[in-house]
Amino acid sequence: MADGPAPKRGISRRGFLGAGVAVGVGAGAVALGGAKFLGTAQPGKVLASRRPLPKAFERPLRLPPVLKPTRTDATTDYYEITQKAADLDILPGATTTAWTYGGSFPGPTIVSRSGRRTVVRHKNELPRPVVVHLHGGHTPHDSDGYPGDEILPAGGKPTMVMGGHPMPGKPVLGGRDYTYPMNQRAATLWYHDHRMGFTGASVWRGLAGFHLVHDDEEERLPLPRGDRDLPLMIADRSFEADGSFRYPSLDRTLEHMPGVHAAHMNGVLGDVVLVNGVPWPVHPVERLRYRLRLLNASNARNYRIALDPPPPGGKAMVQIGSDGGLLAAPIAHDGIDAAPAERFDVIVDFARYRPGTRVRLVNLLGDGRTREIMAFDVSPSARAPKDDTAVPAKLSDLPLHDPAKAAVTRTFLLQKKSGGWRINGHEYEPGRPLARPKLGQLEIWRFVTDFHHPIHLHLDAFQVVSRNRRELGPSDHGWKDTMDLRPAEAAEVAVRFTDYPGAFVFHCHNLEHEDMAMMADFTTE
Amino acid sequence: MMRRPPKRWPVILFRVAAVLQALLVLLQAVLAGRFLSGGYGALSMHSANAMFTATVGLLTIAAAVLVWRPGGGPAKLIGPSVAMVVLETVQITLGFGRVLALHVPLGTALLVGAATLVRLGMGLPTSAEDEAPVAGERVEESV
Repeated sequence: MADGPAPKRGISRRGFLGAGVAVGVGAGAVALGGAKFLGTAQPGKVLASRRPLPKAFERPLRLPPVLKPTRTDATTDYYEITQKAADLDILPGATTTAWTYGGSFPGPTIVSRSGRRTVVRHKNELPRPVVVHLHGGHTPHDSDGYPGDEILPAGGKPTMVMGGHPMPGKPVLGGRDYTYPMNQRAATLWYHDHRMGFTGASVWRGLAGFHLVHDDEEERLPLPRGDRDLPLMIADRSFEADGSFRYPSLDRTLEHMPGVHAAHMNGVLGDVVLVNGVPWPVHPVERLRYRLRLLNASNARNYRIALDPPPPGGKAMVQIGSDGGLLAAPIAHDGIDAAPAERFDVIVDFARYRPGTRVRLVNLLGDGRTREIMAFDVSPSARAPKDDTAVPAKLSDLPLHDPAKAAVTRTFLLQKKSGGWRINGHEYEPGRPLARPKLGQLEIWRFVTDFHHPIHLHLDAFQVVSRNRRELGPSDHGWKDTMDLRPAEAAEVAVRFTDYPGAFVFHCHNLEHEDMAMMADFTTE
Repeated sequence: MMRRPPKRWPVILFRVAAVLQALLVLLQAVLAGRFLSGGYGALSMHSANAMFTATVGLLTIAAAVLVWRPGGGPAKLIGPSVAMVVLETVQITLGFGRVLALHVPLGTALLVGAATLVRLGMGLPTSAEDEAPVAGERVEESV
């Protein structure tokens, strides 16, 4: 082309190419800035501990005690838990005063049978109101832990919403019976505090525990059980110099003003990773299959959980279950992305490792010390014991929702606005439902996000239909009650609310987002 | 050095294609903004419009070639038109891959590129509208 003199005016081809080169150079510079910038930024900000961090892989893993029923009858098992402060041995050289379910962190594990009612009486001997939510439970309104249904301590006053008026609900003094019909599949559930505006602080102080449900379908499968079925509650925490939990509450008394300081409003990250309340524990394993029930009980930290070293051939973790129980078929993963409150039941076959290998459970999204979670020491014995377990190719008959049959589609925008976290522009206002789903009716709920928001629905599990109008992500399979949306994502889930009319909540499970108003009521009718 | 202005029809074709491409690129930004405001459907429209934009980009390349042969005009439109489609392909890949840290700045660069193609197209003389080849040549040289 262009045999004429050099262009002098406007944007010439040379100018265009120059711009192209500039963009290329810019992109190159950005690329040199690291995959960190190009990748998705993770939520939250680390709150540094004020004492030296404990060493990794020194303390043995503990399993939370399994709670015994106080009595049972033909239909129901009755349990009792007293919520109280307790001095825990988490760190060397200091005790940590925690808020606990029955004196331990995690609280005692409750084990239910599908179809058999479980009643848990919670007594509150803590200095502040509490609310118990069974996360993943298919639970009537009265026992679901609606924010206004507080258990007040002796002489305590209910938590007021901003503006100083009381919440709708039925606060009770001293104790409350939570009745769980347990008409639901076998699954890894957990219970935790759900107090309005103070959930983040209360859970950080220790109010969380496992609640496992078993059923016949699961029992028929030749999966690892007993001491080879390990519930692992992964939670990051920070500590003060005296060993107490460090948390950036606006109101240290946890009485009036909810939320955290502005610097941490996108989430509080700890610099110590606890598994079942033990910092970076180590656990000996035989060269056999184990079932790990991974629960991310962190307030805001995302994990990409992997085994290091990976076994020969990779795909170390075979997922058999998600939030709502067994998958239809196992899915083999190299790593598992777990947002707060998500659960993944995985089978790891330690026979794939050489005897004596130390296998670390790592978080590929972590930095420095938070890159490690725990370690498994594979038995040094040269001969692997005989393994009578297996992972069947088919796990469960999973009925699939047909999104085409949905009667209603609702869209929810999860977004920061004017210093608060909001859903469809509203800060949480108890008693003001954003949706009134009809019981038994299939609905599509769409979520659109600005930042990371692990969205959690109470009452019923859902199935992810699409992520960004495309196929499901690796963490989206099976029955879910919490799904992670990354920044600027859009997802559709199919959900059918059933059985129980009344007010329930759905919210972001980044607990700092939740406490700073990213929650809404929905009322089933 | 003296050259006849290119035929009118390929130049018009190029102008139409370039303007359409620029409008579609602008629409991409509008749809992205709409999606980020919670417009769920805007995301799939953004995705469909990306394909449409690249298709119009290919049309622009074809028009740029026609301006050169048989149009008798300069070949200088071809390079930038091809560059646009290459960058649009990269942009689509980045978008589906959610590499937003590059997707957003490349989006703004594409808007500049699309506007540049329009300016190049508008700066071309055509034989039908310009009876004075010398004057036309002068304009061409100074573009």
